[in-house]
Amino acid sequence: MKLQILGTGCPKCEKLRMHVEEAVAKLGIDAEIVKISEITEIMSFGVMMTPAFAIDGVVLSSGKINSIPEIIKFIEEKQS
Amino acid sequence: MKKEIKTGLIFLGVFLLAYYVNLKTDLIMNAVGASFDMLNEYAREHVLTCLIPALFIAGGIANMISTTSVIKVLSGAFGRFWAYLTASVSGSILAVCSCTVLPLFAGIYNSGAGIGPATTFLFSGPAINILAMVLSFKALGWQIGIARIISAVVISIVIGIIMEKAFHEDDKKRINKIVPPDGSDFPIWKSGLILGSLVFVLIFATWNSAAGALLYNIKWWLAGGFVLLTIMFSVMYLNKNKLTGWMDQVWTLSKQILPLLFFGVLISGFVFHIIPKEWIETAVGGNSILSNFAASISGAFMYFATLTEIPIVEGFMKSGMGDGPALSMLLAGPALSLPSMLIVYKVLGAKKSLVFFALVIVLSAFAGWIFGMVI
Repeated sequence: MKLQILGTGCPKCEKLRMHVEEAVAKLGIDAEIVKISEITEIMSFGVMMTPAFAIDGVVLSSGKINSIPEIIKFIEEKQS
Repeated sequence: MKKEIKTGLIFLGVFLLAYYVNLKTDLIMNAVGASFDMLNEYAREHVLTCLIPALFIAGGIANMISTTSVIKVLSGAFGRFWAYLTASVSGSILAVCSCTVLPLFAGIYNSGAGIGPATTFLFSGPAINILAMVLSFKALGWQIGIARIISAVVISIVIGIIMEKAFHEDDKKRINKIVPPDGSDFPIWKSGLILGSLVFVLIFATWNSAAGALLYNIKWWLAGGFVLLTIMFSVMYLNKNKLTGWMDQVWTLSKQILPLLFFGVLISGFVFHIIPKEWIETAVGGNSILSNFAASISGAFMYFATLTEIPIVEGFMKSGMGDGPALSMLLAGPALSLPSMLIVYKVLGAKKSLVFFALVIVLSAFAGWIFGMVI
């Protein structure tokens, strides 16, 4: 599973990345965390507000910092 | 490795400076004094009454107002007229931090409304976010504050329409799927009550005697009253989740903005004491076309971290910059910088971005010139 964090590198995006890392650690799963900061690449996701969060190329949330439980929920839904 | 070399060179530079330059000259000591004076002035005049309420409002906007509908309008769902109009003013809601402006700009460009509203948004966004508006009013005076807002909105629409007319033909490449940002389902009248009373706190706390002596005498009572009202509405309407979300936003914003502003004020107090006044007066004094252009061009290339354009322009003005050039710099400055130019270049391509940069510089200088003549 590929967890993607989209953001140009502002503090909000960093915070989301930390949350994702913690969520992965809590779940104890094997997932690849990718930070995408290239603007043209972010655009190709169709996202208008960063930070955004995607799993395997599917955008699940944008324009906010997701909490750790939210991210865990996203991952679990994806797994099942 | 490259980074290590850079660090080494910085060390070398600092060492040479410390070794050869006598730092304890009157000029430098006075400049240090001036930078602390300016910091003192900002801390006393602007932080408590103006920045802190504005931070709460900005955080509240980000947390309580749904941006989904704004984004929909921006992407052209309701036609071009509304897209332009919204693009020119929505910076006050959307663009509290400069790093959200560029993705939004690219998004508007690629996803529907196209190049016109996208450039409109890019230009006006940084000028009309709530913190920039409030601090411009407070630190630079209401004339420049109002001129900044009006000309940012007007010029942004002009630029957008010119860009659209010029590049209509090849403005076809679109991305069809847009993922709307997560909206908040918080009722608008509740956020209106809370944020509205906060706006009144801001208005009364910054009230000065020139605007009305009668109200001035009781301004702290009024401001305090609205603080209580804000707290009351918050307790009534916000659940725990919403409240912590709001405070979280305020804190994130403060962490982001306050250090920048702190150093921006210190540096600008220092630098403007060192630069000879005559230089600034020759370059951007008075209100000639040339000094307006000098101000808008240097503003366009300079990088201003969020809000630091204000102490910097204030420093320039104290050293003899004219009112017109000050507005030129305020307009062109936050809209463009070398780093943001590179991103715009990537998104728009060479031809369009060069036209855009030229428009920003020319129209900002022009607006400053007119303002300088009127004032």
